[in-house]
Amino acid sequence: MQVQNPNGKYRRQLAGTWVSEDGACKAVFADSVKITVTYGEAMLDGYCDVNPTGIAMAPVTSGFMGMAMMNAGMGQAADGFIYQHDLSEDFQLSLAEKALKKEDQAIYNIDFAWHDIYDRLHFDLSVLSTGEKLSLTLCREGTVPVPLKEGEVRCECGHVFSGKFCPECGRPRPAGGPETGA
Amino acid sequence: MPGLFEEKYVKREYECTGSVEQVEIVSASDAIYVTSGDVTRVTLSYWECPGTHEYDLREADGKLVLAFRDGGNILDGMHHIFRQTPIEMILPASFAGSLDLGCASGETELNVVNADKLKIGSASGRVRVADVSCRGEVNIGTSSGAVELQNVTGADFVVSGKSGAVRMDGIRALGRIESGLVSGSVSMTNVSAAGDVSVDSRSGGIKLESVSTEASLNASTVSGSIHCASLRTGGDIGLSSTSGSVKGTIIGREGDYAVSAGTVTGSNNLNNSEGGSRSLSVNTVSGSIDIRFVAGE
Repeated sequence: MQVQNPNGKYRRQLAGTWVSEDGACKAVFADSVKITVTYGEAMLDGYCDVNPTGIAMAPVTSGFMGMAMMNAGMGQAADGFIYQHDLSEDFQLSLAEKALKKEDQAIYNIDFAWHDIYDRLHFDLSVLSTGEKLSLTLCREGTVPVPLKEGEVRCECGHVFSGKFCPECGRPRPAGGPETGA
Repeated sequence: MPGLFEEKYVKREYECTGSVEQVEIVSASDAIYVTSGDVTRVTLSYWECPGTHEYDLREADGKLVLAFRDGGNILDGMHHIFRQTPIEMILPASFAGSLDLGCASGETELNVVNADKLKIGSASGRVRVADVSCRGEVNIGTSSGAVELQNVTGADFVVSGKSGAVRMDGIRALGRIESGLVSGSVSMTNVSAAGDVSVDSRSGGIKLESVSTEASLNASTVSGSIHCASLRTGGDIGLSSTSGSVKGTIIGREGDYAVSAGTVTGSNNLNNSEGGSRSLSVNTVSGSIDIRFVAGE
């Protein structure tokens, strides 16, 4: 028995153009399974599938769920569930090609790609020449984030706040932003 | 809803109207099978179910494109059928064009094919390539599907994956061979390359049997072992593991190499030495090293 286009509905949710806040990274989901990613002068042109993450399989350290820990980095736990890379994640991308190339030379590698419940796309990149890790967040083209006022920071969940903790998700204030206590 | 649309599937057949130099096939979950046969033009067959499972077919300027049309079918993922609906393509024996095959979850298989360049991108489907000859690059990328190459000739070979195993048997590369994986094992048997051979896996074992290159060879893994037999290189050799052992045979004399070998907790049969026209670097942290030199045939 064959299931036709099992992940088509998830791929369609990602269809369109996504850009990072600084505009340096752009991802285009076109046709049915094609993806194009550009970052600087490097480019990836390949195929992808989109898989919904399974039951909350975020890595934990105790109990039988610790099995998920053993498979961290592999994307899929031994019981077949796809573990969550982040608590806000809803889809993971399976990329057939991972290297962003400039003139046939691989510059970056996409180690992990996922989408979150706030409708943002995330790429974890490695700079192949240095091993440096980069985390990029992309929004749908045309949805420009609200500019930050003085003292405000944007949480990983996308919420803008000025206190010590995000009132939306509870995460602590990201480092680097001045805290006004407002 | 198994079989709801079963009877509505129609097999489409198409014969190209002219000479084709470029073929691109994009599938979602249908398998792609390519072979060469007794035909004068590229022919292909595929299955469609009107309104639920359709393809766009274009042939122009020597390029043939068959692309799955994502029509927004709400039954996707619930749409089960009991028949297989593969895309089957037959190439003329004289075909010398490039092949670009991509799919999300279907398997891809090429048998007895001549081509210029071959590119296969499979997000999660298995890829099997057998008895294929390419003048240009063979580039295969997969996220979680296994890759199997048997009796394949090409210029450069680039095989990358995330969690599927890679097996290469009877490979002849006129250029380099590069295989990179995150968590799968890599097996190379009867492989020859004119350029560098590079094998990298983060958590899988690496097996290299009768692998020869006129240039250098590098194999590295973090948590797997490296086993090599009858390794022959014209350049430097680097074998590196973190928690696995490194064992096997190299064709040549130990004096040909400047040896640098080390392990923290295992045994090591190699002595570090200087001199030699090539370098041999063997490293592991918690495994043993047992590399022996044997005479070539």
